[in-house]
Amino acid sequence: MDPTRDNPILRFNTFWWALWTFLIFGVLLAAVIVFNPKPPTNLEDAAAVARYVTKDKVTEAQAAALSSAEIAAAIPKIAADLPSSKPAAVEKPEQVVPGSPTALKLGAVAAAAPNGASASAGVSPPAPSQPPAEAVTPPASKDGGQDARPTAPSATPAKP
Amino acid sequence: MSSAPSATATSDATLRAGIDRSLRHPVMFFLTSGAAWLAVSIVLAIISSIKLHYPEFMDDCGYFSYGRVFPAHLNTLIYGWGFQAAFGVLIWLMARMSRQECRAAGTILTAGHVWNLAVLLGTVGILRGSGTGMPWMEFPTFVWPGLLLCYVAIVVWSFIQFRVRDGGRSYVSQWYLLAAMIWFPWIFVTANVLLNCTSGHPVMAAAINAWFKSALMFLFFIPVALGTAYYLAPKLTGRPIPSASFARLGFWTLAVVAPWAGMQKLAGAPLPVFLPYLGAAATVLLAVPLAVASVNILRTIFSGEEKLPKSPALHFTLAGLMGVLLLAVAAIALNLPGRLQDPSGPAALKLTQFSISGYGFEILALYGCFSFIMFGAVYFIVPRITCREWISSRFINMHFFFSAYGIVAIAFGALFGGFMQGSAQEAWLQPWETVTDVVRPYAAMSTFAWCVILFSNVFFFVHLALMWLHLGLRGPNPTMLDSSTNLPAPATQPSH
Repeated sequence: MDPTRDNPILRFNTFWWALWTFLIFGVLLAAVIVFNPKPPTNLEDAAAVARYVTKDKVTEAQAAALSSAEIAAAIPKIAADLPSSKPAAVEKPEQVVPGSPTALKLGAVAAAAPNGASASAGVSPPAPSQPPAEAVTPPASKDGGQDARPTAPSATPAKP
Repeated sequence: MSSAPSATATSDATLRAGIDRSLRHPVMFFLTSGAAWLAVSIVLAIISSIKLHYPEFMDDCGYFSYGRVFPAHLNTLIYGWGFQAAFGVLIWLMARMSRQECRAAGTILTAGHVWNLAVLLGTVGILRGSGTGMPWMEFPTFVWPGLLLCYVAIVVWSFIQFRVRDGGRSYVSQWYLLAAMIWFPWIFVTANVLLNCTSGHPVMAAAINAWFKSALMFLFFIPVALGTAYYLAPKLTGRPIPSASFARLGFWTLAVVAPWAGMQKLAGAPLPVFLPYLGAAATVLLAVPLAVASVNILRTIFSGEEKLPKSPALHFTLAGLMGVLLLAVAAIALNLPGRLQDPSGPAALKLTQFSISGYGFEILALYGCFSFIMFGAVYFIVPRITCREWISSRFINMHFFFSAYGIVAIAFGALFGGFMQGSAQEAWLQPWETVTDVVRPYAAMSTFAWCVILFSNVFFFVHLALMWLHLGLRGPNPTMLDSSTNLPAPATQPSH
C-alpha cells in the first residue's frame, strides 16, 4: 500500500470534503433563499389582488346578511303564526305566475291603460329575460363550420 | 517463482477477510432489518391493494384507510428496505473495491439504528394521519433531518475509503456508487428544503415532488443497482466487462439526462408548458443509459460458451437486469406525450397520467430492478461475511421464482391496466363506474401477486436471520440453485 496515499491528514481532509460535497446543494439553496427575500411577483399574484377584493366584498355581504342563528330563531315564530294567518293575494307583478288568471287580468289592465302608464304603474307581466340574439350566437368557426352549433332562437322583444 | 504469487494471494485473502470482518455487523444489520421492513411494506401493500377492489376491507379502522396505508407501504419500501439494502451493499462494495477495512463500524451501526427509529416514527406518523401528503416524502416533517444525518454518518466513510483507495484506479461500479452517494443528499436536501422550509406556490411544490420521485429512482436506486451489477457480473462469471466505452456512455448519459426527468406527471397543470414536456423527453431518453448499461453487463454474463453457473446471485442479477431493460421500454411507452389537445395523437402520457401505470413503473424500478440486484448482492455478500454457506437451495429457489412471478404480474398488470384505465377515463360518455370496473381485475391480480411476493420474502428473511445467527452450512462449496451442480467458485475472479 502506498503510504503517501493513506494517512490521517488525508482521511481528515476527505471527511470534511465529503461533508461539504453532501451539503453544498443545501447550503447554496439556503443562501439563495436567505439573500433573495423579495416576494414573488407573477401572474398568479396579480390575479390574487382582484380575487382578494372580491373576497372582501363577499365577506362583507355575508356579514350583513342574517346569521343562521337568527334565521333558526325566527323560524319557530313564523311557523307558529302561519296556520292562524289568512292568505293574502299576491299583488306584486313580478311574483305573478305567467299565464295564470291573475297574470291575464293584470295584462288586460295593462293593455287598457295608456302607453307609458303601465310601466310606471308596474302592472305589466315581466317579459321573459333572455339575452339579445347576438350574445348567444357563437362566432363562425374557422374549420368550415364542422364545429358550429345551432344558434339559439332569437329572443322575442318584450312588448312595450 | 511460485512463492511470490502465492504470498500475494495469501495477503489478498487476508485483506479481504479483514474487510469482511470489519463490516460484518453493520452489513448484516442493514440487510436483515431491511428484509424485515420489506415484509412490513409488502403487508401494507396487500392491505392497500385489497382496498382497491374491496373498499370495505378494514374500513372501520382509520389507521388502515387507503390514504394512509398506501403511502406507508411505499415509504417503508423506499426508506425501510431500499435504503438499508443499498447501505449494506454500498459500504461493503466500496470497502472491497478500495481494499480498505472499515474503521467506523460502530458509528455506522449506531446511525443504522437511528435510521430505523426514524423510519419507524415516520411510518407510525403516516398511519396516525400526520403524513405530509407528498408522494415518497410522506414521513412527518421532523423525520427528514434525522434521515439525512444518519445517511451522512453511514456513507461518509465509504467516501474516505474511495479517496485513499489502494492503487488509485477506479472501477465502473465505483463510478455509479460514488455518484449515487453524492446525488442522494443533493436531491433530498433540495426537495425537503423547498417543500418543508419555504412557502412556495403549491403547484410548483407538486412539480418539485414529482421531480424528487424521479430523481430518487434514477439518481440513487438505479445507479446503486447498476453499480452492484457491474461488480457481480464479472465477479461471478470470471469475465471482464466487454466495453469500457459503453460503460462510460451509460454512466454519463444517466448523469446528464436523469436530473431533467419527472415533471411529466404534471402535464396539463398550470406550469410553464415546457416543464412537463422536458420531463417526458428526459424520461424517454433515460432508455438510452438503462439499455446501454444493462446490455453491457448482460454481454459480460453471456460472453462465454460454457454453461452459466447456477449461482443464486447471478440469477437474481440477471433477472434484475432484465427488469432494467423492461424499465427502459416502459419509460418510452408511458411517456410519449403526443398532442394533449388532440385525441387522435399518440397520447400515452395523457392516457396513463392518472392511472395505476405510474405505480407499476415505480414498483418495476424499486422491486423488479433494484431489489432483484440487491437480492443477488445479498446472496453473494452474506456467505463471505458470515463465513457460512446458505442453508437451503430450495429456500433460494422459492424466493427467486415467487418473487419473479409476483413482480412480473404486478408490473405488467399495473402497466397494461393503467392503459386500460386511462382509456376508460377518456370515454367520457360512459359512467365513471366503468373505470373502476376496468381496474378491478388488475387490482385483484396485484393483491394476489403481493401475497406471492410476501410468501417468498418470508423465506428470504428467515434464511437471512439464520445466516446472521451463524447457523449456515460449513463447507467449501457455495450453495447453488441446482443442488446437483455445486460448483466451486470461478478461479479467475478479480482480486478486489
